[in-house]
Amino acid sequence: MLKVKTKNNIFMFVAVIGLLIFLHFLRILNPIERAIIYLITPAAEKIYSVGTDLRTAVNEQTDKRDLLSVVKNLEAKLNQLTIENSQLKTMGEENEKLRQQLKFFSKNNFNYTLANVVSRGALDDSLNQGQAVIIDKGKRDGFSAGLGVLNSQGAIVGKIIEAKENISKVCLVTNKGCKLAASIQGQNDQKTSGVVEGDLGLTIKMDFIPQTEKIKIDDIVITSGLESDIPAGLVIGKITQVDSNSNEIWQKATVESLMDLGNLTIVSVISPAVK
Amino acid sequence: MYFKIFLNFILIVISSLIQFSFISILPFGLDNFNFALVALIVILLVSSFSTSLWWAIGVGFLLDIYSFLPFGVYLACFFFTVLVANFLLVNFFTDRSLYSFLALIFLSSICFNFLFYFFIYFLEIFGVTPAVVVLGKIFWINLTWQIFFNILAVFVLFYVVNFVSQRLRPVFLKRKK
Repeated sequence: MLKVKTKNNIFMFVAVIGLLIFLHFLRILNPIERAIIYLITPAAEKIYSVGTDLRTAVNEQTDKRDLLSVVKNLEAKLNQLTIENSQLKTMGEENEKLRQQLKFFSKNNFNYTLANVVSRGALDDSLNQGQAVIIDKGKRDGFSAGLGVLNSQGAIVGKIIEAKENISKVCLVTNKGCKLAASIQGQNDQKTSGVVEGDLGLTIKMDFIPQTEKIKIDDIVITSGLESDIPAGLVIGKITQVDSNSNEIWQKATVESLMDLGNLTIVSVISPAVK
Repeated sequence: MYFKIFLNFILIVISSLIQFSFISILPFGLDNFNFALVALIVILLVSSFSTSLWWAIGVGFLLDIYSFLPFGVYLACFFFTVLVANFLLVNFFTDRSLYSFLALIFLSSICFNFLFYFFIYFLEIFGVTPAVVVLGKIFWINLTWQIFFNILAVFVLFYVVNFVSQRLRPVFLKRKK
């Protein structure tokens, strides 16, 4: 008797699950799903933020030992950058004056929309080693696959690979499946084009660089602008290793992102401006 | 009655949020912890089979809303895992000892992961999801971490539940002299 009751119970639950899936695909559940996302996303943002703080604290504890040597290197770099900065400021002022004289208008046809990171994917992203994040805006805000995503400093961190109505999935630049058209800012404003792709969720690899191009460690890698939805000149990272084998047609370079992709909480998505 | 339903609903939302927003950002290893599964197994142990199934539906539904996998994968995986866990609990791990519960969470974790990646692999064959390397090195590393943290959580929760409730304590019948 008890067994029959349990069996009936199981059938009832199977029916409930079947009904939920059926109603979801008929889009009847859409208003309920939207309401749930609307209600629980603020809490998800808060919880994600707490998790990020915890992760940062753990990482800081681990990194403390290496901190001294890093500080020394950074001091040297800071001096160098201060000199470069003053030169660039002068150039910027000159550029501004020239633009005014030529009545040059900025060709920036892009909009920037802020979005909060709510998750790194539940259990389905574990094979990607957390190299994707989920943000709280989607198709309703005009997001679609291919749009570039920036961090708070304006460096590119990835691009949208899938958008639902209220949420979007962003693959980070260190994700193996995330490819971006890029170019290397070499000396004398020489630009070398190629494609960057994530490597093992840790670094970025740049491929298809012609052997004739001269690249070196510490060169900055930026977006090339060859992708219609991603403007040129957004910083991806800097070269840490060059793999130049004369037997190969192309050179390869290992690129390291300049920012910690583990601490993303707010991002901005670049979308083409509506004309 | 209504208060109990409301309380369960709130706890389901909190469990899903912890799994979805908190655990996913934790450092490597800990991010594999399957809090939702641990919650379902503990509910199965301290409450009832049907409550655990309602939890499986609730948690599965919420995770499916935020997932980019086809809708229903989490629902189905949690549901079948609870069915398997209940079968094991009723037929094999009947003594309600700590070792039984650890064995139960171990087998449930394996069951959940194989079901989950079976679904992903199945959907990948039909081109619904992008190709992922199922059963590769990363899969085994993640599974090991997940089992470790799930067992650890059940170990702690067993003593917590024992401290606050009589439900998991063995019952001895005394013969009257």
